[in-house]
This record gives sequence, structure tokens and C-alpha cells, in this order.
Amino acid sequence: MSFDLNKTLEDMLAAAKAVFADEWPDVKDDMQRVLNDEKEALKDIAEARIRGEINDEELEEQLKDEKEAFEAGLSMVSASTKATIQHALNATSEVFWNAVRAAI
Amino acid sequence: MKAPSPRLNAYYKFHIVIIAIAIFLAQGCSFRFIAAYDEKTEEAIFDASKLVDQFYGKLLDTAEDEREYSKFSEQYVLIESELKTLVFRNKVRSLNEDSTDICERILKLWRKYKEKHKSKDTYSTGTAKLDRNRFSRMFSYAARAEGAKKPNN
Repeated sequence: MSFDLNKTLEDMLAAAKAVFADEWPDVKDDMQRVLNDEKEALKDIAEARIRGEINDEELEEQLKDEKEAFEAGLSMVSASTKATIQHALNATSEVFWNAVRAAI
Repeated sequence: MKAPSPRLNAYYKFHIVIIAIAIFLAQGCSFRFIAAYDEKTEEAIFDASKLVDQFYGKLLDTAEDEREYSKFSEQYVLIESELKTLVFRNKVRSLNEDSTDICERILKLWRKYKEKHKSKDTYSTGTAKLDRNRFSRMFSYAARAEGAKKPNN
């Protein structure tokens, strides 16, 4: 069974887009970055194996470690999304209080 | 005591609603989804990232058959300590689960590679290059997660 990495990453991006819906424009760049990073990392691992720089056991370990790195990337996306909401909330509050101060 | 007139009652109600909205929005000012930005944590991420990169620089500069664990044990301990501090610095801040998670994963991998180096008493060039790049990526995620909290980011 063949594995098409590009197609899989495209599908993952599409799935993320559907989940994030309205927030997607704020999340897109970070999510795209994580997926591209992962694509490059998997490519590097595959090439290292082809060149004989790592053996099968190391290949398996590398893939396990990539899961950690990928999940760290998803945590970064999550933090960045929450920060965007926080900034929007702060800006809204600031507008309100400026209006209140001006009225007083 | 005489009951307030319906008109006065409406006047009070209107003001109570306005005050309630003001309190609600005032709370909104301090309502948080995520921890506030911390400059020292961001600096600690860059410092730890530099230490790890220097570690791999030194390791890769050493011939593969001369990479005994004992030559690097001191640096392993020093960096592990830096990473533990980084995890702690993140963990003590509320609403900071994502940044804590990233740093915990970095520490987890660092300990794993340390144990592997210790048991094999060597570190292959191919693995070291991949591990170095992975750490670099994970530190960039940690820095981005902290940097995103900066106001006006």
C-alpha cells in the first residue's frame, strides 16, 4: 500500500480548516507551518534511511519522536489561537472603556 | 414607606442594567483565555535553544567513534536542569497549558536521548542531525507560543 505524504498533509489541512471554521484565517499560517515542518522532517528521515545514515530501529524511533514534535506544533497553534482571541477581547474592552471615559 | 413610582422604578432598573453591563465588561478586561506574555520565559526559551544547539555542534564536531557519553555528561546535566526550569517557569503560570506541554515534550526527548547515549555510549551522526533539527523546531514552537501572547502581536 503506497503512502502519499503530500495528499495526507493536504487532507489534514482540510480537516483542520473544517474544525476551526470561522477562526481558520487566524490559525491557517501556524497550522500550515506545522504541517510543512512535519513534511520536511519526514522527508529528512526517509532520506537519512535511504542513505544508510540510520537503521530500521532508529527509523522507528525517529518516527515516534516526530509524533512528539508534531503534537508540540499543535500546542503552539492552540496557544496562538487563544492569544488571538485574547488580543481581540482586550481591544474590545479598551474601545468600551475609552468610550466610557470620554462620556464621563 | 411609600413604594417608588413606576417611572422611578424604571429609572433604577435602567441604571442597574447599565452598572451590570459595565461590571461584566470590566471583568471582560481581566478575563483571560491564556497567560500573559512573559519576557523572561521567552528569553529562557532562546537560551535553552542555544545551549542545545551548541551541544549538537560540539557532538557533531567530535569524530563518531569518540562520542563516549562521559565526554558529554556534564552538558547533558546542565541542559536538563535548564529545561526543567523552563518547564517549571511555564507550569506555575495559570492558563499556560499549551506552552507547558511544548516544554515538557522537549524535556522528555532530551532525557530520552541522554539515556540512549548513555546506554549505547555513542551517538550516530545521522540520528544527531535529525534530533538537532527536531529540537530546533520544537524550540521555535515554544518561542512562537510565548511570542503570540505579546500585546499587539
